[in-house]
Amino acid sequence: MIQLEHLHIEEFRGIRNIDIPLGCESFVVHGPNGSGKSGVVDAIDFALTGNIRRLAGQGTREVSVPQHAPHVSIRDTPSASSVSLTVRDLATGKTAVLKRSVETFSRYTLTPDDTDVRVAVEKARVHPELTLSRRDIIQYVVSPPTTRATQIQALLKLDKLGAFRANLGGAMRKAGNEVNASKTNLTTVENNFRAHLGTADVEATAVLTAINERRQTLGASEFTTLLPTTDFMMEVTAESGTTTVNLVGAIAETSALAASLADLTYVDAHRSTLSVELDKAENGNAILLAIQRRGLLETGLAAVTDEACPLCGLDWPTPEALRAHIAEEITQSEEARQFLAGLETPRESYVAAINDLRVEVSRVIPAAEEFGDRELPQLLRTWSNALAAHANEFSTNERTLRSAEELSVRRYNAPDGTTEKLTALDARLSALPAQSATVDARTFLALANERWTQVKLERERVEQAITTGEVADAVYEAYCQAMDEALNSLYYTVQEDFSRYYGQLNADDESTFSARLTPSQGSLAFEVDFYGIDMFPPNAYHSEGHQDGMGVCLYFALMKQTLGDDFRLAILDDVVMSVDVNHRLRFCELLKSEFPHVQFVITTHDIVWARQMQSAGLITGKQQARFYGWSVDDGPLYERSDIWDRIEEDLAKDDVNGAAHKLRRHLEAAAADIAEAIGASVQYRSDARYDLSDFIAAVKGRHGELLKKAANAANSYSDAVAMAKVQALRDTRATALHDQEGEAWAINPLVHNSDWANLSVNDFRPAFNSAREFLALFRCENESCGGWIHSERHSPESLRCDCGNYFVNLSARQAN
Amino acid sequence: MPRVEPDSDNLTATPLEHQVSEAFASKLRAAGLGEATVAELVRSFAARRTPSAEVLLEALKSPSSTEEAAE
Repeated sequence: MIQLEHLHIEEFRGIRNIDIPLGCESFVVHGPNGSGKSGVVDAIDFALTGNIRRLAGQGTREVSVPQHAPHVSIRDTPSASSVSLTVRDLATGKTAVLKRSVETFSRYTLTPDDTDVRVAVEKARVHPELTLSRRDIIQYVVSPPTTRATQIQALLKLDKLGAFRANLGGAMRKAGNEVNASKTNLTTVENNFRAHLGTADVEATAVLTAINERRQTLGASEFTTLLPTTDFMMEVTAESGTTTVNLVGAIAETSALAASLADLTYVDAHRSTLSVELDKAENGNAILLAIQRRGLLETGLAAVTDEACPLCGLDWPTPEALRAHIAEEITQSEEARQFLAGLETPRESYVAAINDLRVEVSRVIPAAEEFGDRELPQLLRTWSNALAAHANEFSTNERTLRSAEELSVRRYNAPDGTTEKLTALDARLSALPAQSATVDARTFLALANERWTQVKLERERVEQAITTGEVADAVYEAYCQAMDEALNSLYYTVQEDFSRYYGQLNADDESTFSARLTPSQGSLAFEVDFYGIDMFPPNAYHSEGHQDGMGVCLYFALMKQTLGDDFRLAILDDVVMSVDVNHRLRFCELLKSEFPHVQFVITTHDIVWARQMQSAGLITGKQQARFYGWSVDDGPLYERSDIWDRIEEDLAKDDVNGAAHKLRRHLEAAAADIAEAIGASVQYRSDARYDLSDFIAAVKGRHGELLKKAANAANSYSDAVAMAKVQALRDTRATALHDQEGEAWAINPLVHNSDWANLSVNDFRPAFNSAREFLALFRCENESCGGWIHSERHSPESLRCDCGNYFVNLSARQAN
Repeated sequence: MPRVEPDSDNLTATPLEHQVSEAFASKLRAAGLGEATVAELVRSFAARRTPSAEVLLEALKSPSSTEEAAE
């Protein structure tokens, strides 16, 4: 895994050009709403994954990375928009610069392109959840169980487990369908065989009785057993020039077909049942669309191999995110799936009835060819083909939905003229002289042999289908058990970690808190303890603030499970705001104690939060950036630690305007920060458009007041050392203020926006030096601290820094 | 039996996937399936692209699968 050493952003989202030294340590970016903090999160997210989570998901269909990631001023030049991250591979300590441009957002460059670092970067790339926004955290808590399961499975990279189970389940269902289909076919051919034999069933005794009777007539030996290899024509010699039609059978089957044709109400009944079922769909097209979509999505889900969607070609941050999205879409078509399940039986019954009729028709054709009207065979073939085609229209649920209108009329009626010609055939067959006993026996056995072969074939198919079905059931069961055991173990660990984190966060009133995660058939139930009363859904009784806290804790538990020791980086975008104000310190302690090796990059719009994190030791004074405001032209107004080096770079390039602009913005940011730190009162402006001079004046005044108090305090104690120290501070201040006031004109924007002003580096440098000297008055000299000095706004007792290196007492000795 | 080839992505299988794979193989053997079928199903699970229901069904229809199950 990697951690982040440095971030450089150019023309990206609301940021023009910014450098943030993250130092592979936890870092806080704080500032008011709309100051550009989230741009930093977007930039890290983009650099790592090539995507911006904020621009993905529900309600973001009209925005995209290529179109909306560049700064609005250069939106037509995506090549100018880029993010560079200096990353460190924690396994080897190697560093490299990862750079990603919006123009080629699906690729990144690594300089140097070190294999170890690339592997570590790839590990981060496939975990977009390293970036957590406030809107993400609640999804795990209040989602429906199936959605939660999908989301958490995607986070835990479990979607593959689910996809394999789904496909095994699909195989099992298809195997079951094949068993049913083969049994239906077997029934049809057995009925055909039985009808020919004239027996009540196709048991061996009945079959052999009918067969042996004919064999006896022909002088052939009798069978004592019926085996799959039994050949009814064994020892029976062919006789040329005689009919192959068995007259008795032909008469029976022709009569049967004529009877069916005269009364097709049994087919009508199946058609009616199917129609009723289809009418339950309010909108067949919508169901069809949902089903087509479902089929397409299931195919697509199985075909996902990388970030590119196999269905539409769009790039996603990770294959896992894409799979989770498709799985969610599939879930939404569940209603359609249930409708189809209800359609299955009536559809199959109707198709079976049609097929039975087709078999009846086809077995009369040989007799019609030999004894019927010359048009009858063709009429019967046309009818048989029409029945086959009609059955095919209902061979699947999808086809049935499309063919619903075909049920409005009898598509299984015989062609015109068939009834008359069939009746004529029946009459003719009945009028024929009886076949000789030997001819009857021979034709009977020949046809019996043909139909017996069909029965044997279908029996084999049924056996094969049943065996396959049993294997499919066993495999599905084995997989489900293996998966459920693993998931139960995993969810138990998550549940325990989650409960511990949340209990720690709410140690004041919910220290014995517990939770329960219960996976079940693709869903994940989540219940939490409410003050020892019982287990409830998390959104049943807990406040929204507590639910947010749960979301954060569940996120941490899941990330620990997902990444284990590789959980070394998390970017939390305004997430801490979700934590109840009374639990800030515990939250900081939780991060420190449970995740001491994780680099947290945290944004917050609450400065108190930032100070709390510093007080708790989660970050140092230097590990933070404060954004004061934002403008379209300049991006965030940002006080930065390396500003002096950057101004020197401009001066080295003779870019005085650039240097002056940076210095002015830095002074604006720093002065605002100092004003707040030392309790300086800035005159209120209703439009909040404060000028640099407003802050500078307030800061100078307050600083003077505090040093005067310091002098009084030192005098009250007759503390010579303290008096000398305060005097030194006042001397330094006098010099700094003198220089600063003398050179302030050089950073006035009016100067730099005027053609007449053409400042040289030498003209500008005194302003640069004086500004630096001025700001140094308020900064701790200890490099590891580097923070602004601060004091209480009311009744200040001391002027100090966070590390204690700078400390001036302001409390005078009380008179006795 | 249609054979599903695992690919290099299997190298990135998560610990949980390894755990499931091993338990799956063990339960298949306990269910009476032979080594050839077990190996094929485990390969299918390890494949980067999850085999479709049709492909899995064809694998289960192979003589070795059904004969082993019938024994």
